[in-house]
Amino acid sequence: MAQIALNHVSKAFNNGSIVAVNDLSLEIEDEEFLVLVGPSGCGKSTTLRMIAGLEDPTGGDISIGTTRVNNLEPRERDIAMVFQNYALYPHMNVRENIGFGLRLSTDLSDADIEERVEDVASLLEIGELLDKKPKSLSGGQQQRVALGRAIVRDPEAFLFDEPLSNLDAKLRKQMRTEISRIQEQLGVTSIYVTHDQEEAMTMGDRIAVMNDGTLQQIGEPNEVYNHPANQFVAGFIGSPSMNTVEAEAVRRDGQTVLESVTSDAFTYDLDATGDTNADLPIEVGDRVTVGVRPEDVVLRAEAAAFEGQHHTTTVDVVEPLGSDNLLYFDVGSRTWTARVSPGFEPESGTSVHFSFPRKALYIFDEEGTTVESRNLADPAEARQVTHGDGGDGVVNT
Amino acid sequence: MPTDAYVGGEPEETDQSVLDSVPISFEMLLLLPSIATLAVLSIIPLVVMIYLSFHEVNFTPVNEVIFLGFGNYTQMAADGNFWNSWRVTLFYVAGSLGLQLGLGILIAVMLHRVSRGENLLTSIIIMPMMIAPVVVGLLWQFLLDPSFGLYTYMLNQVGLFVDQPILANSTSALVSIIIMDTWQWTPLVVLIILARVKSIPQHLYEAASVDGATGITQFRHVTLPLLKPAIAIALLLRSMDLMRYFAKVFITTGGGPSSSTKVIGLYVYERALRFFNLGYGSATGLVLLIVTILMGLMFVETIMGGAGDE
Amino acid sequence: MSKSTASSGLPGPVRRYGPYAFLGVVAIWTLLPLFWMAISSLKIRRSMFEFPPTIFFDPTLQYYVDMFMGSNPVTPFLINSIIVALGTAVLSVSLGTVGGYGLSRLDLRGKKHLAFWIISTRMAPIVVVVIPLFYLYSYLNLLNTHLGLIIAHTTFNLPFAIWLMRSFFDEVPEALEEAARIDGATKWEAFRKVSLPLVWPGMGATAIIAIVFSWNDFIFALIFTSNATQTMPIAASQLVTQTGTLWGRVMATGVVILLPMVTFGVIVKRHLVSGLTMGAVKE
Repeated sequence: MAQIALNHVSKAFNNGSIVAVNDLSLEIEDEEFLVLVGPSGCGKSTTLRMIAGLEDPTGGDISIGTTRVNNLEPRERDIAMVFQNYALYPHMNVRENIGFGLRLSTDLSDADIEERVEDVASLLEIGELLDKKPKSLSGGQQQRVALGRAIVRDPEAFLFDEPLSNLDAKLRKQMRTEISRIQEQLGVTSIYVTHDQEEAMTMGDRIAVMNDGTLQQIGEPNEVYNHPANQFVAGFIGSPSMNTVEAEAVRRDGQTVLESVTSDAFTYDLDATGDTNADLPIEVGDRVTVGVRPEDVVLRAEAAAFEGQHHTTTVDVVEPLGSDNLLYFDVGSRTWTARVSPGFEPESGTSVHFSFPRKALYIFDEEGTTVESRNLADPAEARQVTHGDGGDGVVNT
Repeated sequence: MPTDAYVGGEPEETDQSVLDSVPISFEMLLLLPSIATLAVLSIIPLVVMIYLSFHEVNFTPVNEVIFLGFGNYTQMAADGNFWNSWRVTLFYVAGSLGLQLGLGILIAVMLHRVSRGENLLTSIIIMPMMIAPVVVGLLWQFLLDPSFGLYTYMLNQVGLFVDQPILANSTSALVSIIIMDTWQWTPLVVLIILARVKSIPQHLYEAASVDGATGITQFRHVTLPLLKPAIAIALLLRSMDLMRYFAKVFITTGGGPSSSTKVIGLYVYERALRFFNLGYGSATGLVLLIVTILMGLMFVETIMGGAGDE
Repeated sequence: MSKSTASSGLPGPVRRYGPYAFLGVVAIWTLLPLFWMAISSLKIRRSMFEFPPTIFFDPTLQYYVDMFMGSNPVTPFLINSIIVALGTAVLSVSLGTVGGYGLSRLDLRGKKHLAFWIISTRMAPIVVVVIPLFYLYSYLNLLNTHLGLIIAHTTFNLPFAIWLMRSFFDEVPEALEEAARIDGATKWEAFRKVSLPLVWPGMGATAIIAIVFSWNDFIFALIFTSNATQTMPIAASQLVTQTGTLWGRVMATGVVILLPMVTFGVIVKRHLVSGLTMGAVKE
């Protein structure tokens, strides 16, 4: 077992014209499960392949354990990798697939290899598939064999390259749990690459968000969700995405007010709750982006339900999810989403009222850096925008 | 800005494989023996050929090589036989390509239409391609023999070529070698087109049917445009081979009567290795090479979208 | 079948049986010369030259017996053909497999030009290769040797083998080799133990097509060989003499030359298109 460290690692292709990874520094603790997440082309796979030794970095150092591995071949790094398309050897049966690495890299006797293959197969519940060829296996079974091939070698680290993206939704959730369970059980340092933020949130001890080859933020899932470092992370993590609107800070009647730029659709009085905004680094005249998570938006049919400030809008679409409903509506030129209780299902075109607590607010400056992130100890606090605690009362913002 | 991260120590000496210590990439190392072989087998002969094309080479009474400068090339420009051979080649190549392409498309489309027997039929039609050109040449000579040939007999029955040896007439001899090549190589065109026809998704035809296109219209507006790349591949492969090989013509007509079937390959062969005029043969051969390479370039560039860097 | 809808203007039976009738004619056109060759090789001299030609006759195996037992037996020619075809196939397929793999995996900016140069060596007209090689061979004492003819045949078989093998390796996902390298394989082992076993059928097809090309060659054999090393096509051509052609022997020899190759062709039928188009067309 080992920690993995990347020190100012870069990777450029085509003689430097394409920078895939830019000055990336990252430390993964021993036994940690780190998820590298980002949109396609963000450099996450390239990063993983550099750790594996399949790509050479154009700059920086990569260390596994206490060794700088830049000049080592993949086979000398003592790592295992699970590929997106599983990369099972088609001409070998499951037994040979799993045992291939042991045969190549260890001096184990055939009997020992056989025993370890059997052990791993029973751990993954694929014992009865050992004599089959990969071609005759289902996607989920192939995935298990690929996992087995990684596990059997007892490596320093597991590298996962979008291993679940070819599976259907149900199987994906099941394998997600399974991988987490096995990783915890074996305690092997793991790096898991995915473009799926939900996978990242549910699986990672920590999440590293990448965009355009640059590390945006690294932290525990809740930290990244609640306190994104910048607008990109805020928008990428969370589904549906955070609602945003561009605004300008103005003084009105002695109060600091955020006013939407594109139209007068939206104003938000920062001082309304009486909380001090003294430490908020916004000057009057600053352009900012205001963000609110869909679950923090409170929607009511009656304006009277709100105690303090609220806005009026028209419902575009209602998407029932069963557990709750998603409501889409326009704010300025943006479409916002609200996650509401399943009982609230207005017709599209209906006029409704919305607000959100001051503490749920995200503010990003013109560069997109987070100025303020939401400060809700308990998401249920959002309910307190309205009267009482049932949610049908009057607002006290 | 990223902060510094831990940097581990350099690894202990590991078992470096011999391959790791070579300065060129592993892939290049694997390719090298082939490149070296081909270089020896193509560049050296090419250089020798260019060299020879500027010389007169004699083997008797003594081996000698005399520098001529552009002598061979000026002689070539004025050589009516040389230009005649190109003219014959043009007819031979154009005629064969036209016939083979037309028949090839027709057969491929028909093969695609039948639901049974396709396997057996393809097995049958690939047979001629596997046969040595010498055997094909001799066989057709046998079939067209004026006194006992099967095809002569059949043509005579409908009143054609009675007492007229087919291979002794300029026009019919040229047509004969075209038909002979068509018999042997239309199958290749069929296979190329058939592979493409099979890959046309069925829903395109269904969509065309919904739009009211059927039969010939459907073929013209759906099938044919999609066959273009395959047609181009077939055309260029066949045209290059028609330029390269001349063994069948050599066996059947020997270029006659009176040079009416003397395709350029045969002409160059005769100059260089029958009359042992290696210098002049090399000069004419170089022209043939350049024409063929230009056609090959077209093949790789336009049809295959480049040799495929991606 | 939905591709021929009712409104195509032709009566139903024509549409249904038309293709079969047409393909039947194509099959007859293709097979008739071969059929005629086969039965002519079994006809006694007298009935062979009857006009009109006859289909019913007393078959004889005389020509086949003569071919091996009579004067000028083809046995040495046959042995030469086998030596040369196997020699060039082994040389081309081994170099072509390793080289084709290199070409497939090579990450190089001039790769396209390299690939084109490789195949251009095969596009050269036979006679263009023959002339300088003849000149060189006369100095290297390679005229009239098996090795000389093997090398000559390699000029057209190797580039073809490289391209064809490359197209087979292109279909092997690189992730398999990467998985192997992470599993502890060197690059060579990843090639040897993972990719190579996956292209065995491709190597077989390449070998067979290389054998066919070599076996059928006439011009190289005509120029580079004499008595001791001549191959089967030369044997066939020598039966055409000043005093007349021994048509019975010609036909019998032809059958012996074409039968193994036609068999090979049917065996590798599935790979024949990509083989003969050097991987440009896939089935």
